[in-house]
Amino acid sequence: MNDLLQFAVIGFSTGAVYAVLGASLVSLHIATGVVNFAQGSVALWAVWQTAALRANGTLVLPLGSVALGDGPMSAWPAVLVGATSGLVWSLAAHLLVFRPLRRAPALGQVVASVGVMLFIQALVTLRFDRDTMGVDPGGLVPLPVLTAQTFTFGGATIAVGNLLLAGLAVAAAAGLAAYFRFTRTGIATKAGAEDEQALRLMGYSPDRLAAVVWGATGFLSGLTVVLAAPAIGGLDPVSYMLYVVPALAVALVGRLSSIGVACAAGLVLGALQQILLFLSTKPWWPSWASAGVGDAIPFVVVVVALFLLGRGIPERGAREAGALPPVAVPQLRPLSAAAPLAATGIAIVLTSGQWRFSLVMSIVLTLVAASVVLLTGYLGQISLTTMAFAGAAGFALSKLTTNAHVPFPLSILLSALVATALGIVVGVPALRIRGAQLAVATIAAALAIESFVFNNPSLTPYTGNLIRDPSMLGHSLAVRQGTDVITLRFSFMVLVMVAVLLIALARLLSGATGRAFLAVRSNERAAAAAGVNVPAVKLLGFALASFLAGVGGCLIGYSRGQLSTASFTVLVGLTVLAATYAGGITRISGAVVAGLAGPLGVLYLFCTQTLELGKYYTLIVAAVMLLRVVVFRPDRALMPQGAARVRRLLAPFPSIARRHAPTAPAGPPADAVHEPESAHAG
Amino acid sequence: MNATSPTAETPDASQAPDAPAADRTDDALAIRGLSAGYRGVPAVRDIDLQVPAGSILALLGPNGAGKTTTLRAAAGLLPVLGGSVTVLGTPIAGRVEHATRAGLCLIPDNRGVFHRLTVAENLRLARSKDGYGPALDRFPQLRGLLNRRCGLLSGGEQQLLAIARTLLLRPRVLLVDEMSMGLSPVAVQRILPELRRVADEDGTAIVLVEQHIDQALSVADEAAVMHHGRIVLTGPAAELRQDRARIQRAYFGD
Repeated sequence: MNDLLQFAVIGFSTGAVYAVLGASLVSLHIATGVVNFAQGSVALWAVWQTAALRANGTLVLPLGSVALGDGPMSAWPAVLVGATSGLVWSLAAHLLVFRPLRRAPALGQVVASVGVMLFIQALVTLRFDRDTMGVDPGGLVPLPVLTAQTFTFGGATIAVGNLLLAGLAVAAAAGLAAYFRFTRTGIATKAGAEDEQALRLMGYSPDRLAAVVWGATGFLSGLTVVLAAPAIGGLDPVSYMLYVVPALAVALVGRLSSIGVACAAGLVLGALQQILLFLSTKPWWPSWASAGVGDAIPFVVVVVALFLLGRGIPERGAREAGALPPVAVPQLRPLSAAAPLAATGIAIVLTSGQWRFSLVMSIVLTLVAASVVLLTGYLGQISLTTMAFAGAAGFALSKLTTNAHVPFPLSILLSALVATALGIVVGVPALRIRGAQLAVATIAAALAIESFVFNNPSLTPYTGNLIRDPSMLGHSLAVRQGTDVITLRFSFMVLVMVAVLLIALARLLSGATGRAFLAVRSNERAAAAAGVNVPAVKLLGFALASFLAGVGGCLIGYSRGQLSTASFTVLVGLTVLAATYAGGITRISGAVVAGLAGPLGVLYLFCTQTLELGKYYTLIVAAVMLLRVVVFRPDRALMPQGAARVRRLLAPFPSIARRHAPTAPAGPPADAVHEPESAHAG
Repeated sequence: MNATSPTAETPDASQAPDAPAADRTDDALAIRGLSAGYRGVPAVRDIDLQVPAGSILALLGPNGAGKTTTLRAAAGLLPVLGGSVTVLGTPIAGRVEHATRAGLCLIPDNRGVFHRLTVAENLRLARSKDGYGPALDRFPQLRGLLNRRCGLLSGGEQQLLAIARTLLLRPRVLLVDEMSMGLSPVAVQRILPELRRVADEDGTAIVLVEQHIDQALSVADEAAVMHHGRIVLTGPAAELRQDRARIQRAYFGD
């Protein structure tokens, strides 16, 4: 019992981080309707900023750096500057990304926040290096700020610092909740999230009100993580970014609307993880569950929360749904399909070594990205689990080929079916939730699969998850032969398999199934009213998408000869989603772009080898995606907007403006009058 | 800047309502030659409307005539593509802030009440020095609903709340868009006289967009009928009320 108490209090350090990040997420959702996946990245920057300041007083900026004083900065000023950097990032994200997207559909906002998340994380890796800071980032640790005192309570040793962190979390949540409840600006902020225009008509500025919340949550998240980091452990360029996943889970427990519940759930989750960690060291604890339990809990929490509270999680129904990205229904013409196929075949023959390898990787990634196109672009379900499906299939492939000796084509089929089953399971929450909340559930699922399956030592033999080389009818289709890194046979096997699947996918999307997908995407209720079986269509989408991703995962596995978990991390999955969105998430050609630009693809190799920009890769992908989301929005026709802007600029000069106006001012064109009126007055 | 600004800043009740429209210098709301629309395409053209303090203008017309567009442009929600809108001498160049600061309030056709806030919270949003007491004095029906979420109110109650909240802002110019949308004629009958009282007692200039022609004309001083983005008929409300045939013809664009 004493042990449990002791470990529960230890868990308050991570619990405080979950609580404050979760309370921040709820606050932002109340204020703006955005589910901000970048909350952890903002805190990540703050932690590194503080560490750099306390190492030698370097203030690292996105470009350049400033030396504040000649030596290490003292503790509290460094903490304040670090937390303020969180505030600045948060405000910048508001002004540059989320404010322009405030009327965009949920997909655009989720993709944008994932883009910000990747962007800041990539920037942390780049900027906090030896050149900028003057110290080795590997040797940097978050120095303690809070007191190291302990006291004994009922036989348990309790660290005062952890209690202070829990207190900070409660205070931060209470402050945020009181702001929304008791102050007029807080009430106005809630109102602005519901009907921005009505609020503006009352003389408020919704942007300024939202900015207050963005700034406050950025500061509080930064502050808490900076203070908790020494108790949690080391400093690495990823971990705090992914703390957003448990934080999202507790935000969901708070139904995205209760700051207090989210805070309490965060503290409990932190304590629970620590207790489980402690229990998993006991001899009676099953060995298969000894790793990754902590990371699997958020997914369990999400699933339980969804089932218990499913109906209570708010839909932002009052907000305008916003225009969805337009869809180009794929039309299969023999020539248009054969030409790129032939070109790819020729390219495979002409290349060799790592270029051919990256070409084949591009082909495989195209298949994985096509699964994103199907599920997210066509069906409108924001899933961040794609790479986890692929990895699960690869994992199954390793077991099937090494343990059960299942022969080649059957092995891929069975493994992909394993992924399909997993996809259906992950798709079940989608029957109850949609939009950003589904993204939360799926990223939690991906993280759970990653740490509980891929990184679980009891499921992986010490030799690694080997995969036997494929062979058919006595001919080896192995990826390597002698010194050849990638054989022609293997390359063509991949090309044929992906081409067949893509053609089948194109047929499917251009037919009745594709139409049903699009109907569900644009309006579930209307689709149901028109006779579409919405749950069945959603599960079908998840099943097909995970099957495609599963085949992709098997091909990746075969190309390596063993399952490397690094190919299937959540981060890789997010990068693939980013690349697909940038390429065009509603068309198969977008998947091809994603395949070329995705990790280890041809453009990746070009970027890393020829241009030697390898370390900038994630940053570039994230930046391109953000530009695509915010500036070159797929849901918005570029030209009419631009033309209108030109005309507005010319408005003070009536003679020029009239010359540029497309419709003659004389005589009322009936349709031009009717259409806007009916659209806006209805 | 409008030439009428010096006197328009201090509207008084002693203006002559029967003076010719073009010559009035004390209009609380003056719309001159306005063209406005969406994405640079005008939906209304050459709108001229003047509303003196303390008077009500009924803006009528069939669906798609441009009534809402006119109000939205006057409130600064739409860019002005041509002509001008002035509120008490302040030009509203397509900026909501200009309009609200000059004392203009628009009640949009969705009523603009916040469904997730309680009635009390909705009323608090109006930055009123006296709190929301005056609103409850004017609409005592709201007193028992203060802690209820606005989304749970009936349409008529929501409309009362929208008007009560807007009046707390003490508007000099009040634009009301399709107040009767989704309301029974009886509910409209109850609310319209309130607006008349506001115009008479507070000297507020009111523009009322309505589909209930007769009820609107019964409280209005002036009326204007729009068709296809233009004003096709104006006149004193009492006169038009007697001559329904003229309004009917204007509705059909004759």
